[in-house]
Amino acid sequence: MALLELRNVNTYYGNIRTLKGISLQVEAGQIVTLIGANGAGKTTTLRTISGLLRPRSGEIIFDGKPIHQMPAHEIVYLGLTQAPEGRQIFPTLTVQENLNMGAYSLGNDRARIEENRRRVYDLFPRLAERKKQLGGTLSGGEQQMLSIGRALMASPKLLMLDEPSLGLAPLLIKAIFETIQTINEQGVTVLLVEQNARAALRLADYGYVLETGTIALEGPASELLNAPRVRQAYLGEA
Amino acid sequence: METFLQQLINGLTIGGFYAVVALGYTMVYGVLKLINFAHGDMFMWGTLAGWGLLTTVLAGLTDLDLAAILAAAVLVMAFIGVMGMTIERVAYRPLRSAGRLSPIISALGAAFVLQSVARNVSDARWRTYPPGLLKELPNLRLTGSVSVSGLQVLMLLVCVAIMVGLYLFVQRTRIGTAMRAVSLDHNVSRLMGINVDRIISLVFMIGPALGGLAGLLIGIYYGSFNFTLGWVFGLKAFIAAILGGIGNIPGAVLGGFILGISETMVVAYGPNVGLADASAWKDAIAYVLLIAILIARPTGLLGETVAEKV
Amino acid sequence: MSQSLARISRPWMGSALVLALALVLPYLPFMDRSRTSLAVLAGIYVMLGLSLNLIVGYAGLFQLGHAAFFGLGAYTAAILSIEHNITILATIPIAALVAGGAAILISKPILHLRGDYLCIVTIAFGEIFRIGVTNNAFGITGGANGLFGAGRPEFPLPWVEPVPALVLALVLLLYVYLMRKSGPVVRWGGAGLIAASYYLLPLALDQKPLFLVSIVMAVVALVLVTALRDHHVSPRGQMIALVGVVALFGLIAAARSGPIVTAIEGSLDEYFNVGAPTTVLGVEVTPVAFRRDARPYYYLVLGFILITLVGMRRLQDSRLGRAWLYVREDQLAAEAMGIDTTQVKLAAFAIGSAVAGVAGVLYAGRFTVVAPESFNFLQSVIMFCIVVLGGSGSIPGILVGTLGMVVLPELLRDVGPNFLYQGLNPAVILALLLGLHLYSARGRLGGAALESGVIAAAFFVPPLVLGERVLYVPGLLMALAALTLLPIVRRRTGDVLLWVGSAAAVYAIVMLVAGKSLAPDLQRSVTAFRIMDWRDGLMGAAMVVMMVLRPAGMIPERRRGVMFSAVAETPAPAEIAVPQQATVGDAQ
Repeated sequence: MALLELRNVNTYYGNIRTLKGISLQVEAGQIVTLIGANGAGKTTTLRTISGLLRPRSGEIIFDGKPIHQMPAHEIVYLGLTQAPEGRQIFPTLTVQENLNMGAYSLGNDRARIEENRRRVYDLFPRLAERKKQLGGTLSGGEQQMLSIGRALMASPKLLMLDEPSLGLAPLLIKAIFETIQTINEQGVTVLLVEQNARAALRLADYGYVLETGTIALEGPASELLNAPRVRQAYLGEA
Repeated sequence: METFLQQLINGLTIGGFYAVVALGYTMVYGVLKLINFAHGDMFMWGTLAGWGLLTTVLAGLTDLDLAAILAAAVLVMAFIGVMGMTIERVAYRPLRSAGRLSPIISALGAAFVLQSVARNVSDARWRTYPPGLLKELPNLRLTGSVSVSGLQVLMLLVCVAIMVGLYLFVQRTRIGTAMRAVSLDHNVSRLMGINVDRIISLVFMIGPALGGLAGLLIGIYYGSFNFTLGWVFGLKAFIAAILGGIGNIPGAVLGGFILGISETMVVAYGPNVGLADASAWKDAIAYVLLIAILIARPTGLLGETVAEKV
Repeated sequence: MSQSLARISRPWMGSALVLALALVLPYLPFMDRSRTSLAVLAGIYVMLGLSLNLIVGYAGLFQLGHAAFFGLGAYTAAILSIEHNITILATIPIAALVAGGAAILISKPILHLRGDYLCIVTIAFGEIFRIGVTNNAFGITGGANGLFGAGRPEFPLPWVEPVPALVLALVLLLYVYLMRKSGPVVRWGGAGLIAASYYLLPLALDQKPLFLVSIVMAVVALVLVTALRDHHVSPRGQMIALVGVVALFGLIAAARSGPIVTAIEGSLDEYFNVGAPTTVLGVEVTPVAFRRDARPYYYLVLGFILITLVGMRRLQDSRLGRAWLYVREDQLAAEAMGIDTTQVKLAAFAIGSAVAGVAGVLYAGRFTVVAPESFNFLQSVIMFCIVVLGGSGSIPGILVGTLGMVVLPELLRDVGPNFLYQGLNPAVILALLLGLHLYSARGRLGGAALESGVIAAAFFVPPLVLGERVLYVPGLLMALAALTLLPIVRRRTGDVLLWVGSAAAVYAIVMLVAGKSLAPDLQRSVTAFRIMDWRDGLMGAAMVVMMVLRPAGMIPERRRGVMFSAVAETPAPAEIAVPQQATVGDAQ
């Protein structure tokens, strides 16, 4: 059974239907990517899964439990975390405090928090160097690292990343994608939302293409990379 | 010199009260961006509840000053804390996404209700605390002939202890950090697994509880009060919070002390510099100070040190 | 087609109805002297609401110190009237200038402040004003007791030259200006027609008091023609209507001039003091002064409200009005469009405050006492509530807000708790409550009817059986509590009737057993209860409840402006878990 499953999910902003019957599955252990243009509904999908938005109809099952009626903060306790779009770290909290907030759902389990923190610092040594610094003073790449690291602090089963490459230099993007690979190899399932379709599909096992609120195409990432429609619309090929 | 030191102590004591009440405003403003107009009246309810307890249930204990006051403090804090949470639940939570105007009206409405009930409970009269509470504290001698009242020193110490305690709580603990996170962004805090509603409830418990405690202390300090105490005092405390830069605790403390000292000094030395009826204008000092500082520094004195580029 | 027609005409009909009611209000049977006086006060508050609406509703700025500008106007009028013996209506321009000027001076340095800071700074200014006048600043405000003896308004006798000529000239100027886009026939011909008939007729008949009628008729003609033009009636139609009205006026005036003149002179004697003629600038003027009877003053205030309303409408549709809208919806976008936001906000503050100053003059002229407590923070809050409770930006909302915040509390003064159990009142009140309950439960009428029956039984049985009418009071509270709690109970358990039934039964039994002995105590506390002691609390509770139930106000403004309609409609707070919050202490 899939770790995460969306069944015919409809989400509205006011009276405007942003997600029109989305169904998708994320198998445990995989990297699944959701690609699409601006305004296709990628971020809305993630916000619906994480509980910040409530779907008007449809079901979302995570790890065998329906979560579409659950408040956002309770979903985190099930092992589903998110590094939100635009990083959204806490600018006036230190790096370490940011990470501690990521581990909020672990309560006072100091040993586990310490272990996770070590894991994050191993992944991102830069963060260890700056742990006393305020989040707002970090560079864009460092903030992205902090955002991902923060989402890892809760020992998630599924990590959702919203456009981790946004606004970063190509070299940094490469590093971030490599780290995502590492995270996945450590046993964390990843749902990656990206505009950078080529990089995302190369990394992922399976992919979904989102167009104006519906799944236009899906398939193994390698197949999508070669699908004419994807090549034309998202990989910039004629 | 003697009077100056005495006035300074007076100012610090009043400033301490302002600061503790300002903490409540600043915490609520931090997490909700809401001016909790009911806070001043909850502070007054602290005075009122303290008076009620010390003159009835705890009246038998007043021989043992400290025991009575401690018992009253615990009860008042619990009572006002629950009051704060209730007000948040009833008057603010339903309006969380309703724009900026409606919560202001709702907050003012809550303040009116609290004041009106207090007015009827106290029969709209001045009420006095039992005489002699803590009055036996010895005066402390500073240098030479200058001495300060032990009561003032005690009050100041308690206020400082509250501020330091709250600061440490917010800076060092998991829940405190979560409060700061919530004040930065509700949604991202949710993604961390923080129950934002519960944190807000907690803020609405701690702030008013401390305000209520300050109310009890001020009742003991001044000895008498009436139901209008809350509005003016609360407004000035809120101004103190803005002076320092709203949303941060050191700012509230700084603003409280600045306000307390300015008021005392202007009243004491005003006549020397041609302000014959300085005491009649005492209440205006806070407002003038507010306008002056906001024109010079729109985010308050410590506002910018905390604000970061986002 | 007919449906869209209905939709267009309904707001217009509503306004016409309200206006008609406002016109006859002082002569309705239930309007005694104090209620007419209250109506004048309410009118002044409507003006204050309109003026504050400009600042809060149109421009989206916080202003919780509006009472200060109201007070500035009132004090200016009182001081000029008492110290310098200037007739109070003549102080209007000065008071408007003082209030508006003060608003400019004060708000210039603070307008860049963020919403909440602005809110607290306006409170600060309001308080400084109050403390200032209480402490007799500059020795001219009379201290805590205020100023006594501001004169009631005086004006020259309306049919002694040159008053009619001046008024008519004004009307004509306005007419020519308003019809500037019409053809020469309608524009100049119409003006000529109005001038000739209305000015010459009283002279021809040698009945100068008819000037009063002709001034009114000239205004009517003006309104009629502009209204016809705005409804796209052809110029020919406009002229025909004008000629018709002129002819009708001529006929009536000629045929009934005697009785009309007698009536005018009679009512002048009845409502006004006609003073001895004096000479001003070489012209003989007979001053006419308002008496204590509030009715003429009511119409004076009504006139000012109408002028303000028309002014606001025109402002709203002007360049400035659109700029306010942009600034309110999105300040950054407004700046990007080249709007000088500071100037625009300043204009809102200045105009709004000037109108408040005029309201202050009207206040001083009516009540003749001007004292600090009329301009304290509570008054500012009341004005703010008038604007927001009714629906920020909405003019009908201001009427509703004034009724709720000014009229209702005053009317409550007369209502003691005895009212609750006199005569048929308990039955009426209960019927209203239950009717509301049935209305809100339209889907499940049967269940709601059963619940209502149970509640009504518990309400009526104890007092009727024991013959103690005072028992209606706790019964009413019980019914009220039951109806408030019902929705909550329904959400928790399905079996509402069981709960309501057992609660009602317990209540009824307790009352039947203990009611007889409770009654005297109850009677005593009910008699001792004074609603005025609880007025602020009731008002506060109403404020909270109203906002929670209708956060956008009773009659929300219909959002105008195509550009921002998307902004106003798309984000749905209901489905977004919580609004985005700004950073702690974030810099601008």
